[in-house]
Amino acid sequence: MTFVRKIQRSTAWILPMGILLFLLVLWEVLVRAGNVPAWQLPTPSAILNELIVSKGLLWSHTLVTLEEIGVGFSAALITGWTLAAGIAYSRILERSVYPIIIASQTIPIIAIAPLLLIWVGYGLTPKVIIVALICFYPISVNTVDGLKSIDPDMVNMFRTLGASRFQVFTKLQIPNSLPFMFSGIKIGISVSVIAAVIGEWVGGSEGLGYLITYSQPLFLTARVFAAIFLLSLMGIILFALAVWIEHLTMPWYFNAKRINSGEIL
Amino acid sequence: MSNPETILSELPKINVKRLSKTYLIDGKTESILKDIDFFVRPGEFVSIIGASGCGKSTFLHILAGLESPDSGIIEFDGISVDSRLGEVGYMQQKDLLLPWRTVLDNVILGLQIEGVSRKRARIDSLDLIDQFGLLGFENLYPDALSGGMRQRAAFLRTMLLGQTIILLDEPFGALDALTKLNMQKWLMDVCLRMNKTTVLVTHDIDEALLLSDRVYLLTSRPGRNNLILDVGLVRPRDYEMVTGTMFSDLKKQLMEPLWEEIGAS
Repeated sequence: MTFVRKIQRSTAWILPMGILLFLLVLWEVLVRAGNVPAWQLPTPSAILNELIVSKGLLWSHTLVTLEEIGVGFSAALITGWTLAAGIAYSRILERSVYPIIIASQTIPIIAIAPLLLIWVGYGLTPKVIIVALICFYPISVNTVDGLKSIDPDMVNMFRTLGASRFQVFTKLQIPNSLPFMFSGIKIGISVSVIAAVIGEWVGGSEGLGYLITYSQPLFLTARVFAAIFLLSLMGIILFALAVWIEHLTMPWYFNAKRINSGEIL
Repeated sequence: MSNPETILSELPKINVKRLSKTYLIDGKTESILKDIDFFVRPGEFVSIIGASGCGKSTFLHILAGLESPDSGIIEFDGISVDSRLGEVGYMQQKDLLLPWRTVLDNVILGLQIEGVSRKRARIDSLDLIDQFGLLGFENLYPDALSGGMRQRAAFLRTMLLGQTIILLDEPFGALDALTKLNMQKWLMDVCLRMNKTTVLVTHDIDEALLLSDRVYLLTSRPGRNNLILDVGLVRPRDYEMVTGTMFSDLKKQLMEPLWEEIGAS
């Protein structure tokens, strides 16, 4: 990497951050100048103040939402992988289960959430199920694509080396599916926060989504904003975490990308 | 092999009799290979040439065990073999290196498939890594290597299993002219030194003559035996031979039937 590139890379975040900062200052100034009441639109400084003053309350609700996402997303990973492996390995499963999985996404999850309350109650379980239902789909569909998009010549090469079908699966198909799988994971983790909030809105007594619905009728608008801020921060951090794991798992993939874009050579 | 008596007493390494193969194309059966007779003595280097579509790659697929003939006999060392997968080394034009494995781990793929532990296989292959000119590159991913290097790594993967028969399907087809020359010379040395019985499919007449003990010319679809040419050039061979009179005589013998076919069609 050249020196110029290094500088370009390290300064890449300055411009978007600058724009964001400018918008926040503008917001602050306009609200103050227009005497907008705090229950209608609080200033950024008031939201920051709320984040500091109510940090204990906000943190405890953050942990609840994080737990829902953690458990729900893990369940989505396990079911997503299992279904993808089954579909890629068995023609019968591909013909029978795959269409059902695709059709399942036409059901509005928010509409079946009330049913979940009837079946499993108001605790952690319905939120976990909603997160899992929403997240398993991009993971399984992308992983299936990755498991199946293999050069037939590669398979022939494996066969001439004496590989069994299982060895083709573990040594060729699974590694080949990783970039696809991570695309699914990144999509899934991005919507996982939304899924958890939906679960909390429909019925619950904990979590940042619940805090929003609870604070809104009381016109604790700064608190609503603080919760929204924490939710989007959570989404960003979870996404970054997924990207980090992606890099750790597939160093070869990002090496190749850099070479192809001419950064190393 | 110049002594006729040893030829008679020596069992051919590969012996093919009246091999035929048809494909079902658009509902019509089309004959691809018809009554092919073919033999290779132990340690020989034999080339198959012919116009595109003459079925030479199909023939190699059949020898490798990836496909079955409709009729005919295939014997290795005088024994008829039905399941040839894993029995012979097979290499294609594409290097088919796995992007997620380093050069070293790509090379040991066949050993791992045979059940050798990764650690053991890595140790066992280091000597040949050196001999194949890949030392110092063994821990790089294939994307960082030149075309010639990648092809050598693919060769080594094929050679490492210790099979005595090596089938090569236009292995230099994707390389530039200079790299190709280098690789041809290198391949000649390796095959002689490792005492492999080699079958090369190519459409390059110079390449076939320079490398082979015998050249099989096939007709266009369906592929039949057209001409069998013994290449009497002494070994070790050199590029100066290419411009010699003996070489051009041999070349003429191959060119004439090829031209006739082009003229006839």
